[in-house]
Amino acid sequence: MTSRVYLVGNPNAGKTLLFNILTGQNAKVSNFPGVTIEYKTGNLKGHEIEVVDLPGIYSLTARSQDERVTTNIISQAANACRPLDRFVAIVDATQIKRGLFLVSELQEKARLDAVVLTMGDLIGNGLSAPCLEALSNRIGVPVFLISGATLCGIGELVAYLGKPMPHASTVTESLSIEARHRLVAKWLSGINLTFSKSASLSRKLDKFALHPVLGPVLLITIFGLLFEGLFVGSKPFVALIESLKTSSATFAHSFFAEHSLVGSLLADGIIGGVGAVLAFVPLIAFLFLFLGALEDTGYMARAVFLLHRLMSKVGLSGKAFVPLVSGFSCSIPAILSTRIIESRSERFASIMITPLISCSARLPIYGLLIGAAFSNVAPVFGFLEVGALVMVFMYVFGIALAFVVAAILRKTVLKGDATPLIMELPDYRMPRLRSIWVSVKTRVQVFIKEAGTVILALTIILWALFTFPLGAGLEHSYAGQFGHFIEPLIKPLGFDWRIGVSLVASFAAREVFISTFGLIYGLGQIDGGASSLWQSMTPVYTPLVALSLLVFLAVSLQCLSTLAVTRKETNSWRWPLLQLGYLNSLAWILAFAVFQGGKVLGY
Amino acid sequence: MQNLSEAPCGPQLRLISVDVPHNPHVSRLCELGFVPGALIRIVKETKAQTPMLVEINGAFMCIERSLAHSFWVREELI
Repeated sequence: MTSRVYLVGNPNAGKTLLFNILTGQNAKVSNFPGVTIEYKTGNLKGHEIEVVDLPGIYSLTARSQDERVTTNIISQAANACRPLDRFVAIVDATQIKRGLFLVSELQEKARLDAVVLTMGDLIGNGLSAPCLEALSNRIGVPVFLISGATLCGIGELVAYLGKPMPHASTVTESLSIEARHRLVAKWLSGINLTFSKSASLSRKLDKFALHPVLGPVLLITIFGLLFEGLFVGSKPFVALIESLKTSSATFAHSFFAEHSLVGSLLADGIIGGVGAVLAFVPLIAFLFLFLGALEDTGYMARAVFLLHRLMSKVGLSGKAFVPLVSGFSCSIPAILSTRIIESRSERFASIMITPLISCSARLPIYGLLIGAAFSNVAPVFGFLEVGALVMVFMYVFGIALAFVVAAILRKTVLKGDATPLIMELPDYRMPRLRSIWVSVKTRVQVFIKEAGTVILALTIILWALFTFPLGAGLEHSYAGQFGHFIEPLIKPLGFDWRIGVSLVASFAAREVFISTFGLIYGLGQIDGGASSLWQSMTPVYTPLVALSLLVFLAVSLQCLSTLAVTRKETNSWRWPLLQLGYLNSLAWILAFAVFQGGKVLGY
Repeated sequence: MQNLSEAPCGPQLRLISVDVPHNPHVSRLCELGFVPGALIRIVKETKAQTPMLVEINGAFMCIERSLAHSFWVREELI
């Protein structure tokens, strides 16, 4: 029988960081509560022992779905006859009283084997070896002091966990909340903790970050700089990959005989289609670089504080900000992370609006269209790229629309009181390069893997649909005929048959929108010597068409995986169907308004 | 004795009593240390509809003002 070690502790206590160190895995770590929403398992390095990382809890009384995952596992493990299973309480040493409150509950309900005090590098002189020993004697289990940043104390802990015979605390009597706090005070009597400068520095920084006027200005500036940096920083790398793609396609064309089907498949289909998607890898890498750094500093909790008032006006609690931020990455983990929201109506409203937050799959499409339509426009004030401003607008537009929809849902089909906010503000810290690197690497790998599998397969199918019947030409190919068939539905939005085919194809994977354009421009030879896809598109699509298309793509739901996860989380078909219907109808109406309104105004 | 939601920003406050401790949100705050005898300090003066920022046991917590109504405090003389 494999023995198991369960890591239990308060949110943001350092459980996942310790789990990564113990198992060698790369689970996401951030400096705000509620990041872990499902349990994760891995083997303790060099041992046949399974380590289980559980979502954070403050007590054994669960109030949200993520907390229920942990409390259910604790009660199941307590009832099951598995003598080798043990629980290790993870306590943030800088918040020791709160962590030990949970320890007192675990002593009562679970087989508590050890207490691990994390953030040892932030503790001053208060926790000497005799103090740890005294604490261990009072609690009745070994107490370890570790630091995830310096890895101090990890060796001792691993050696202890690797021992075959665990120590098990005795079951104590059931206590009231007040009695538990008295017990914790008794455990800590004579132990005075002093902290490093991080806490006092955080308070000084918060004077600006939470200021009623400066705070929102700082929030807007930070996110504005994030997107300006994203757009400007990735531009040379995108251009480099684009030029590599163009020269590879030219070489492939010259290598095969003229009008060779294999040459066309390789150059126009695979290199033109998949290459167009891969050109946006730098954009994805920059997004996760900036978001990872921001999450790791602890600033996100300040953003929740600042936005709570606004969010409560639309019937959401500040906690809904966490899934919305995850939505910048992908709607699927964002919808899963709504489990931290206690109220059902608030949680469902958050699920319904999450697809309106521009995910990373939309980013390359924005990059392509903005590049095509706005690359020749002079910078505002001589330094602000218009493309970057449009990019910021797209994100702000998605968020604003999400708030409007949330307000409507909370006043109609999802009525109910908003959950009051209770949230800890973690101290600021320097972003950890390793966790940012892991976040960037993971997302880039996912993106490249998708480009090499799903997008490649779809691109080959689309190439065939655009190539056959042979000699018919692009416009009269099977795909072209389909595009012309649906054109009347999308023509009022300013879209032609090419966009129609790309939109339908992108239901399988959003990035296919780009590969379809890559195919169309490769097969149709429309580029006329342009070095990038967006330069080829510039003469065909006006800024008004691009804006209408951007609005449509920002609002429409074209992701089957999002629908599947909504079905799973709401346990009904009603919500995903409502999501699909309202988002796509709204996208059509708004794109229509943009295009027709723009025409009336003379654009 | 005064209500936490109306207490001044800055001085140390001693928590004297808790109303409706069985309300799940109030109960969560009790678990987090908001129990009679605890020392609290309001860190940030905020407008009526914004959450309050309070310091308790070395932690800085944002709590909704509506929840603060359940706690009664007395200014601690140093």
